Amino acid sequence: MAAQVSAYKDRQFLAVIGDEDSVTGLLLAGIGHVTDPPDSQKNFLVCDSKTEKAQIEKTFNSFTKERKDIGIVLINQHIAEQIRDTVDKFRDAFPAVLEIPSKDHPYDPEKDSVLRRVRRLFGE
Amino acid sequence: MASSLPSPPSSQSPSLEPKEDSIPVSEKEEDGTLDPPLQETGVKNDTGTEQLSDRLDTLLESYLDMLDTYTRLREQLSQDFSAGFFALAQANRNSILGPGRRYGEEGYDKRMKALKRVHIVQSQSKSKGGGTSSETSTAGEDGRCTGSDANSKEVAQVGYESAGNGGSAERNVYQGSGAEGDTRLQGVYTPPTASVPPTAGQGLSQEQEGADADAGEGADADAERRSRLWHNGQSSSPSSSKHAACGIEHSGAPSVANTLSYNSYSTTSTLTSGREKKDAPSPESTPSSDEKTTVPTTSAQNISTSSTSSESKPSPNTNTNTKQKESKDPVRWYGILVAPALRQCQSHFHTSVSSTIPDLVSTMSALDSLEREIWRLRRELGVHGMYEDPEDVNNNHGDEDITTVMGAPDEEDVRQPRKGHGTSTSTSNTKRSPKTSTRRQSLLSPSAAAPEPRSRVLKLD
Repeated sequence: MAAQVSAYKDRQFLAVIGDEDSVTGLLLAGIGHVTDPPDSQKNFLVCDSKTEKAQIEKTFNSFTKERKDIGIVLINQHIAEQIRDTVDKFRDAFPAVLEIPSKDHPYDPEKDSVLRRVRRLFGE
Repeated sequence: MASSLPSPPSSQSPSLEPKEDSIPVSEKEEDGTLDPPLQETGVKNDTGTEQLSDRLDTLLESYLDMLDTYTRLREQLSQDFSAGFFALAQANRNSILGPGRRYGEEGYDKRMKALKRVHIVQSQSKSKGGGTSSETSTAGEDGRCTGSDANSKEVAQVGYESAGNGGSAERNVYQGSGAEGDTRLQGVYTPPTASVPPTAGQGLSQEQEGADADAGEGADADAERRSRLWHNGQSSSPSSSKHAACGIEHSGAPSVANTLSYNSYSTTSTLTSGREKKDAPSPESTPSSDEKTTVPTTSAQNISTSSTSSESKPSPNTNTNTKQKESKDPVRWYGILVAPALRQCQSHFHTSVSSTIPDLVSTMSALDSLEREIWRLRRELGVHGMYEDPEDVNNNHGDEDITTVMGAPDEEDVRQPRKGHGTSTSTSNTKRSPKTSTRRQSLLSPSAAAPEPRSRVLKLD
């Protein structure tokens, strides 16, 4: 994990992909950031039941791969479930991806990728 | 679940940790004779193996510690979030926004700028345990060594020499000393000073003042500059040898010690209702310190939050310089006078963002690096075949059938065959004695359900 300094030096934002309440709460806490025009990139995505999986995936990839200014990506666990493959495949050191609970979907240890890795470590 | 994470075969060892299995000697020798490749991957001699397995024990122990921390932080996060959601729902219920409107997306300010940012620092430090105490002294608060050992002084020196080390240590201070005063927090917040002369104590506070006085952008710039400084300091400190010198206890073990620390800080220093007011670091936010004491040589990514200001405090307490910032407070999106519930919601999420989330992420990365280290050691010991190595899954899985089949040989499996190398014939005879075979059977019984062990038994007979 001896990453180059340049790999994380500019990673200063938290990003969030989640349902409206999660995003609202986190933005209230002050993590929201919209880059200056003209591109005006947001560091959050509000998802509801109608949000396309493709869009979630695209946003996730943009947060994790394209943008170099994001240090932590927060994603609702139930949304991460929808794009589980993509999330699990992402194993880079930066940014860190953290699955967070949402209002309607409390944290489920069974789906936690960290705990899955733990089980594997102990050969279960 | 994920296709990238194949589910482990049921044949895997019933026991959690290889070291805990006590496998009869004969069993081990069988393994050795059965599986020559295993021997070859073994370590050079018994002492080396023992050291390695000791180290593996230590690693596993701290891994479990971290896991505990992780679960606790998860709980904490769930609590914070659900409290936040609850408050938000309350605010929505009593919404003064008008019919049908709620506190949500449509209120977002499209020009919002982040008030909380992450600060990632990677440092290479071997003995983080010492680091904590050293930092304490670095911050000019001597004699506050928290559980420091003999190493502390040495480490402190290292801290000065390599900013990276100092940085991680500072973070540790923050995490470890939840209840302590502002100075500490500042210490965390102003990493670069660690790379500066030991008079850092004053420097810290001054810089802090400066930051407070600055308005948003200014503060940002300041912070950025500092972070750059810090990074530079770090990058210029390739000296892991020094750290190695500090981490005496596990001298035999190779050291991987990259510490990454994230500081999430808020850039709005002006909204402060008092620095410390912001969430005092939760007492359980000491993942790194736990780890330090036990595992001096693992890499960990640590994240600490050092937002020096609590803009989101529900408390009515305002400073003179708040005005500038107030427009930036996201709560203002929804009006000047907002429901108290919304402020409550904000404060819950604030807690999460500034302490729980960074701690969680840092714990995760610590787990990650510990895991990697464990795999590395297992490979060195030649026992990795017992487990499904994530990195080997694709490559060797097929080759390792035999290894996987065996119960759960521990590191001694490797050692034992080596000893009996010359006398392999005699040992192989002895091991077939009925007594040992029954033992073997009992050993295998837990995994009898799996098809592989049976095939192995057949082979032996």
